[in-house]
Amino acid sequence: MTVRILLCILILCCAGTGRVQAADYPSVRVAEPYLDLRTGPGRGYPVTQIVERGDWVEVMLRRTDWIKVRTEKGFEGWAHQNAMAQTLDPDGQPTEIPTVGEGDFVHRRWETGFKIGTFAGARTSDAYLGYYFTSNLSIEATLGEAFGSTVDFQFLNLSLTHQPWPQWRYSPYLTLGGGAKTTRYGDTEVQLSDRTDQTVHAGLGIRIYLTRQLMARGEYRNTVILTDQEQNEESDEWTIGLSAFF
Amino acid sequence: MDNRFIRVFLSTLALALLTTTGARAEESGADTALQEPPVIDPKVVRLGLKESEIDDENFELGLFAGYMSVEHFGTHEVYGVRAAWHVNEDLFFEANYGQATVGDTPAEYVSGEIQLTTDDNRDFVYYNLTMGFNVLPGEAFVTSDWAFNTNIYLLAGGGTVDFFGDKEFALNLGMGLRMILTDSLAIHATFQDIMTDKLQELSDGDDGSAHNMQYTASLTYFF
Repeated sequence: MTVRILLCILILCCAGTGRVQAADYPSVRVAEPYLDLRTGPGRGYPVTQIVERGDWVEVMLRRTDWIKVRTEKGFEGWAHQNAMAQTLDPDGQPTEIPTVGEGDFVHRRWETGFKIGTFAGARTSDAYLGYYFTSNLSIEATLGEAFGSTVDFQFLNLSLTHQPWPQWRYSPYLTLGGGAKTTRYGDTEVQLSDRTDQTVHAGLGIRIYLTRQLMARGEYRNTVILTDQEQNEESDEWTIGLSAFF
Repeated sequence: MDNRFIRVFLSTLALALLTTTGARAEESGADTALQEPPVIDPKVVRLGLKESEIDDENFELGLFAGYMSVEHFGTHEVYGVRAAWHVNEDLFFEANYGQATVGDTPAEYVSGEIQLTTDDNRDFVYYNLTMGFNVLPGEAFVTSDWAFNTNIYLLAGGGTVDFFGDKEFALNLGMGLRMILTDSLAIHATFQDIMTDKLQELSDGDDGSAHNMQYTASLTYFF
């Protein structure tokens, strides 16, 4: 029954998704001797058509690095963005195909990603969102969970990070911040109730530009948990992660 | 005779003057346009391709349904949502959220009396972030000239499983087949193994991991 309901919802969802508007695509003119068209958006798909110099193609849509075009004869195929960048727009200028590269890494505004690692011996995973005020300074919000053999943690924190050399491909940074952490004790312990504590942390990390909009990230954090007990707890967190920037 | 000659001469002159001045008026109009081109013509429309005119379709959102074999609990229906971001033709990132409801444990089933956990804890809920690698692009030919693009992909990721009153980190590995139906719709057949630690309550004394295998079909929308 539930399967049937789900199918109905799916069909309903999809009914409205067809490209309804009449195709009114922009056109570009081939300037190189020919333009290869493949059957799909990838180097593994075969070239089945070429467009001659001087012929126009309509630009339909783009998926990752590939652009779907329609020829004057109505044949549809996929051309690589680098090949499309060598076509001419209606003004006779080289077509501008926006791409993201290392230059944008230096001037990024937003950054989001996820990290996995260890936190006080527990396995941790978190997701974060960061915003850059300047190319050096950013603020980050992190939401995560860690699961140990007897305790589980959930945490939310804000940090200020500073990278002294934003133009470096391997860019180290410092981080400083605070937040809250909820500790849940498993059934096996002497029954302790859940508690939420404030935390402050300081850490050191590195961002590594990979390709396009992607970077890798490694971080060490020392977190101090401000408990009600006589002594505060301290724990180390090591994480590695993958992020995208915008 | 003279009068008639003068009249003809004058009218011819008048006619000639009229036509030439008219022509000159037209010419002078064209001349001014040529001689005094505006510094910036506000009516010039740049036809060049704008970034917003190319429709980017790198995000994929969809629902899945299928069966999951939860270790110790048999096979049950699983439902969920998946969202993906395609970075390039080889790599994509995916977030999954799924849920399966299991029945009694074997011990509960045999005894019929005991209850090892509450009914709420019998939902196997998981979410994860996964990296996907498109490894085998291809085409599926329905007829000799009607084909759909396909891709076989590998999945690897990590996430959380909330089951039997305990949350824990889970690794997931899998593979799938994506078939692109239209520019915006795709169907998938996916197999994944969601690995957790064995449940202590049901452990057979062995500390290994529990493999929860699921196979699902999904319908996704590219935007």
